[in-house]
Amino acid sequence: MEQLKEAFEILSKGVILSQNSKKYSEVVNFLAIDENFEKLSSLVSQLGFELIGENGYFYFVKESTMTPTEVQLFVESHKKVIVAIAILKQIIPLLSPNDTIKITDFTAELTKRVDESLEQKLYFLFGELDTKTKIEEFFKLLEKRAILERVNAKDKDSFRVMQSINYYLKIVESVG
Amino acid sequence: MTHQELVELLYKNKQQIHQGYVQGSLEYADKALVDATVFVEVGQNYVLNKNYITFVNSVLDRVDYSIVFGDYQKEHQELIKYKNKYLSGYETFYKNKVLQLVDDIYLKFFYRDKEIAALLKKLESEMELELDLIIEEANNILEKISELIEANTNITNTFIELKSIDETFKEKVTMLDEGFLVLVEKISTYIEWLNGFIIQTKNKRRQNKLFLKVAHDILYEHNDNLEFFLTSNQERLHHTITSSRNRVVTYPKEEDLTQVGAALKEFNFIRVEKPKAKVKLTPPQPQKLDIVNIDTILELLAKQNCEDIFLFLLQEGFEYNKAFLIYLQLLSFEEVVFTNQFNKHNIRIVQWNN
Repeated sequence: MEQLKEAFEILSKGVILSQNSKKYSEVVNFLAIDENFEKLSSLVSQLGFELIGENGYFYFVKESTMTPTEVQLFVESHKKVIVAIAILKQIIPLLSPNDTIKITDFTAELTKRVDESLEQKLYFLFGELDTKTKIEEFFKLLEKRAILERVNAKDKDSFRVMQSINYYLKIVESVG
Repeated sequence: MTHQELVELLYKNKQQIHQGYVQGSLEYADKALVDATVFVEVGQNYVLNKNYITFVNSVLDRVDYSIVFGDYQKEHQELIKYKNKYLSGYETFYKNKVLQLVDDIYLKFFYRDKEIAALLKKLESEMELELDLIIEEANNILEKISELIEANTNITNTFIELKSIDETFKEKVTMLDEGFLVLVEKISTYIEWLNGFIIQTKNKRRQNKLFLKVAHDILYEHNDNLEFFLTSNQERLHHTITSSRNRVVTYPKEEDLTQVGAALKEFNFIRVEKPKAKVKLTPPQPQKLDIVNIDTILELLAKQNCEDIFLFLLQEGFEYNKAFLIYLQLLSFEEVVFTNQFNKHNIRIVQWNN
């Protein structure tokens, strides 16, 4: 019962829970069991939520009509993450869920590869900031959107790629 | 120059050699290194001996995509030549040549395996090349490795033949058999891995192109498709919008959390609460059987001590099964004394002691 509650609370915060997440491994393992998934699903459906579980990640959606402002924010939020993932893919073409990315390696590679298209994307995301701050903000954004997760709290340099990246892949496959 | 002197020379000039290895060429090299052909003069520069670089790369598991795996045709032909010469006169000289060639070929297989493994690792962790080039390189490696299968088969057949010629050959080849077989089988594994890698990389290339295209459309505001898709599928998409100025919350609100809390409590009703007080255990009370009037039997037993309750019950006229049931029931009475013996019915002798 505690895990049901915990799963609900985490998903309620808007986190996309990835199956390869170490941070949320207990909750994810709990939801990976059909019976638990069904239980939470049925519980939240009474509140107008839907628990989605696909391609190695879980998230909540809620039946509600958005105001124009909300729609705008909703779309802009997705655009930002798609552009950020495009940067990641440009810098690390073989990138896959479970891979580990180091900020230092990323920075070195970015410096080597930087071209007009990369600069445009970084400008779109962070405007006129200096490169160092842009990179910091870049990792913050992807961590906040649960695309990257710190390998461990002590290591400030390494991030693991979450399976939630497939959520955005689903979108670009639908419109690309 | 002895080997030890060479090692000392290398050690003494380690900085210069390392620079030559990292930079590819140097404008100056120590004369002793040039004399020992550790460095070779090319035009106005000095480059490290190619054999030295090959040795270092092999030891350090570093390989380049341009590596060429030997097909062992030359060694194989030599092996067949010396085997035939040995068969014509059984001279020890040719025998030793064959044995040496078997060793050489095995070692080449061993180093080749290391090179392939390092190459595939390099491919897998490639950061410098674009995916198109990675796929091209993977296809090239696949082609190179596939060509080795024929060489492997030819050499394996010759090794099998050698075993039947001479006991020494048999001993040598048998000694290497297991390791050799592993190295040969690994080739199939590498080919399988490469095929999988190429498919996956092609898929990644497709995905990356999609991300880059959609990102490009976003930057140039040609993203009607994306906006339409997001807005028309918002019921199925992840809502995570928060903003300090526009607090857009499409995920649970406070009242939702309260409702969930209540719903979770409903789930709780099936939980078995732990007893608050400790349960006092009391010994089971004897129960009366319906089949006989146990009081009558107890009255009979009260009149006299009994050496064997089961025999006593039989003597009283109870049938065997019924006697046994009553016997079992009487076992819980305090007057019962257990012995370590069994009666002729193989039932433990239990006494009744008033």
